[in-house]
Formats: sequence, C-alpha cells, structure tokens
Amino acid sequence: MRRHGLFSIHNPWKFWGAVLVASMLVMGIAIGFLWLPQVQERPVFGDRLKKPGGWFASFCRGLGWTGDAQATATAAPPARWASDMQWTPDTVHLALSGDRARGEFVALNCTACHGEKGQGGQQTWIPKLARMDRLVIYKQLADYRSGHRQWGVMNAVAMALSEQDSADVAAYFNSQAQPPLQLGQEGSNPPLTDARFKDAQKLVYNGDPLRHVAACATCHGPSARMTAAPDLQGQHPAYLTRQLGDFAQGHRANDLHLQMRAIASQLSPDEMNALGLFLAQGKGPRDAR
Amino acid sequence: MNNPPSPSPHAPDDPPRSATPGEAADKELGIPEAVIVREENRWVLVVVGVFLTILATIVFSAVHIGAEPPSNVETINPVSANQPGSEFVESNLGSGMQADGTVVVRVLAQQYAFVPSVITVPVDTPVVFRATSADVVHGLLIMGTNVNTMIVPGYVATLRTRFAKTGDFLMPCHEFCGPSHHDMWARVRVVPKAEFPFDPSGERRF
Ligand code: HEC
Ligand code: HEC
Ligand SMILES: [Cu+2]
Repeated sequence: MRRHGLFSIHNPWKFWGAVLVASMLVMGIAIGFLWLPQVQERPVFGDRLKKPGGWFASFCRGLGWTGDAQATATAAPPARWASDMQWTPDTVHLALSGDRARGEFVALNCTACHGEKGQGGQQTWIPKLARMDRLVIYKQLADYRSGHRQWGVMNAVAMALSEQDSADVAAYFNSQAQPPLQLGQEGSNPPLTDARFKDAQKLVYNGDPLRHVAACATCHGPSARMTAAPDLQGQHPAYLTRQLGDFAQGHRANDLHLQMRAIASQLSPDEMNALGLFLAQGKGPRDAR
Repeated sequence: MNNPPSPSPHAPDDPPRSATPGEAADKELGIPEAVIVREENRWVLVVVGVFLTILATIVFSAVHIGAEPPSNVETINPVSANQPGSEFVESNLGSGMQADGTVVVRVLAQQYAFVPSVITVPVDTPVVFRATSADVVHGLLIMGTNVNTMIVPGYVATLRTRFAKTGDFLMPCHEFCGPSHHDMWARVRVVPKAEFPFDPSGERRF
C-alpha cells in the first residue's frame, strides 16, 4: 500500500536511509582503521614504542594484526612446571573409565596405610581415599609417578601402577562410603575457639579479597568445583593442615599454575589449623557452629 | 471571539484531491503528511546524533586515554599452556628483560588468581605484557594506566606500555570469571630503574 515498491530507489526514505547508513559505515571504517591507528603513534602515556608506519600497516593494526609476536623470542630460564597432567578430553575419559572390580584388587596394596576401603586409620598424616574424586586420585598418582609430588613410599607405590591401574583404583576408592570424621586422635589439630572457627568459615565461603585468597568453597565445593580439586570433607584435619603448610613452603608444588601455593602462602599457621578442622567437618555456610 | 477561526486542513471547502493510500491514512489519524515528515526527520537527526556521540567517545578514548585494539591474533592451547615448551610454563612467568632493553611480562590468568601475583617492572622502560588464560575469560586492567584488555582462553593478549611513575598499582580482574572473581587481583610494582635487576642474558624472571 505504498507509492513505490519497498526497495525502489524512487522511495526517498529508503534511498536516503541507505545512503545515511552507508556513510556511517564508511566513516566508522575510515576513523577506526585508518585514522586512529595513525594518530595513536603519538605518545599518550609516556612515549610509545614506534609502530611500523604506512596506511596498510595501520589498517592491519585496527583489525588486531600487529605483528607483536616477536616478543616471544626471548631466552628462557630452565623449565620448571607443576605437573605433567593435561586435562584433555582423552585424559579425562581414561581417568574416569576405571574398572571398580580390578581396582579392588589393586587397592590391596594400599589398605596397610590408607585403611580398609580407604577409610583411613589412626595415622593422621595418611589421607583417607574413600569417596575421593576419581580425577584427584588419578592426578595425584600420576604426580607421584613422575616425581612432581614427593613422598618416599607413595612414589614407589605409584611407579608400580600403570595409568589404567590408577584409573581402576580411583574408581574403587571413589565408590566407597564417606569416611566418618575423626577428631581428637593423637597428632590431630587442637580444638578451635569460636572466633577462629568464624575466621575459617569466612575464608572458606568468602575468601579474603584483601589478600587475594579465593574462597575455598568455590573450588573444593560445595559452591563450585574445580577440575581435580578434592572434596575435603571427612579427611584428617592434620593431613589437610600439613598439606597447606607444604604448599605454602613449596614442599608440595604439584598444583597446576600455583592454584594452592598462591593461596596457602597467604595463610598463617593458625588459619591453616582452623581451615583443616573446618573443611574436614564439611560444615555448610549456615550450620557451622 | 473576534479572531476568525484558523482554517483547518480538513475544512470541508478543501479542494478535492486524488487521495493516495498514505494520505487516506493521514486523514484517518488527522495528521497531515508534512507533520509526519518533519517528525521523522527529527528522529533521523536524533539517531545520527547518537551515532556521532558514540563515535566521538571512541575517538576521544582512543586519542586521549590511549585505548586501542590491544593485540595481534595469536592462539595457544590452554590445556598445555603450562607445560614445558610453552612460553607460559611456570618458570617463565613474570618479568624478564630482552636484549633490546624491553621488559616482557608474562601473565597466566586462571580462576581465581594471576600468576605471578606481584609483577615487578622498571619505570620509564618499554614493557610488553603477554597474557593468556588457563580456563575462562578474565580481564587485565592496571588502574591509572591505559593497560586494559580481556584475557581469552586460547589466545595470547599482547599489550605495550611504559610506566611513567613508580609505585604500586592495582591489577584487578575486571571480567566476571566465577564465584571467587572478587578475590582475583594482582599488584604491579613499578620500581626505579636501578632497582630492577638488570640481566642481559634474559634468562631470569622477576
Ligand atoms: C606406606 C604407606 C602407603 C601405602 C602402601 C600407600 N600410600 Fe598412598 N599415601 C601415603 C601417604 C603417607 C600419603 C600422603 C603423602 C603426602 O603427604 O604427600 C599418601 C597419599 C596418597 C594419595 C594422595 C591423596 C591426596 O589427598 O592428595 C593418593 C591418591 C594415594 N596415596 C593413593 C594410594 C594408592 C592407590 C595406594 C595403593 C596402590 C597407596 N596410596 C599406597 C601412604 C601410603
Ligand atoms: C582455585 C581453586 C582452589 C581454591 C580457591 C582452593 N583450592 Fe585447595 N586445591 C585446589 C586444587 C586444584 C587442589 C589439588 C592440587 C593438585 O592438583 O595437587 C587443591 C588441594 C588442596 C589441599 C590438598 C588436599 C589433598 O587431599 O591433598 C588442601 C588441604 C586444600 N586444597 C585446601 C584449601 C583451602 C584451605 C582453601 C581456601 C583457603 C583452598 N584449598 C582453596 C584448588 C583450590
Ligand atoms: Cu578472573
């Protein structure tokens, strides 16, 4: 019901509308890709590095092609890295594909220290393995095998296991019942004052922004979970506290990109004690005492 | 009531015209086409004004705040970025001096920390930041400077700058990256040139 067809150039609205949009586009391109890159060669905050000139180079810079890659060509210190573990889909698949029945057989080598069905024993320095995430067990065994995590006997034990054995034993321990919390044994953490408990609760659920300490619960659960971060509930508090100390001092350094070392190095020994107890008890944000 | 009534456009004594459908509609609404055209033109001006304001903002921030497209398009596998052979292997993170006197800072961002958490650079020296992410999108912003970019997993963000004054600068993650995002920041420590350990071999990291 119009005087002219929808796309007719005789329709002045359509025609001038198109001209307007096109000129905005041309103007934007000219400013963004040609003019600004040239202008930006001039100093703004202190003087800048000289950029290669020419309008074509400017155009490419506007598109994000700057040829900055040459900065990579520098001498590097001898490589040191946390772990060989790369969480590719294949690795995750292998780590999750363990056979529980075979794992039970492999686990016969572990019960002497880690307890019947991974429930742990009286020795508070040996971690419980029951219910532990399969990726955690798989990664820790791989790290003991490669020497990225050091503990005499565990290195020897892990060296005797293949990758498939590790996946199997992980499936076995993962399927066991949640171990009960044990408190007050010899060598365990001293009980906490209410104030210390509150501090730990704050660290677990809020972290400490002033020290860039991320909230434990956002990686270890329940808020969210990071790949291969263990669930700490039911673990020996003394074991957790010792691991924190080891991370802080770098005795344990198998956490990818300093995930735990960066955090633990900000914590005081008192806080490590409190956190060990709090996390082992697995209290939610509301039911903490 | 001395004034004569102003002639109405729809006065019955209007000469009859061959009404187009558009004019028929105008008649229904009682708005003459000339008024509609005037209003349309005003709105076109408003839109052009909005466009020019946005453009002016971009030009202003580009020229006076130094905002620019930050980097070349360079990809990296985030899963193996921390392995030997990668530029972002743990031992290679931090600042190091190149033979040409430029300081290269390599930063790895991850939920919920920058590595390293304290970055030391000399004042009044060309500095190149190279950053990548191990997991999700993070942001790299150094307050009080024009250093500001997203860190996208799979890509290396490159930024060139020069710090004009010494002091500690806050470097918060400014791209929501998860529930502990608020705990994620690092410190940039700009030190006098003499305090930055000069290492011509380029093999040490600070
Ligand atoms: C001689 C005692 C001993 C034996 C046998 C043993 N472990 Fe361990 N294991 C330990 C100790 C002690 C630690 C903690 C070491 C540390 O602090 O690094 C540990 C740690 C671990 C961890 C890391 C847990 C964590 O929370 O990070 C895993 C996984 C593990 N062992 C699995 C096994 C498996 C599987 C076997 C059997 C194939 C086994 N262990 C046999 C003593 C033993
Ligand atoms: C950014 C995620 C993240 C945050 C936040 C985090 N952790 Fe961890 N944590 C990990 C990962 C991942 C591991 C496993 C490291 C490895 O691969 O060896 C770990 C391991 C640990 C261990 C060793 C457990 C074991 O069985 O060996 C303890 C203890 C621990 N974290 C305590 C804490 C405490 C306390 C906090 C809060 C102050 C915290 N973590 C915050 C990711 C995190
Ligand atoms: Cu972030």
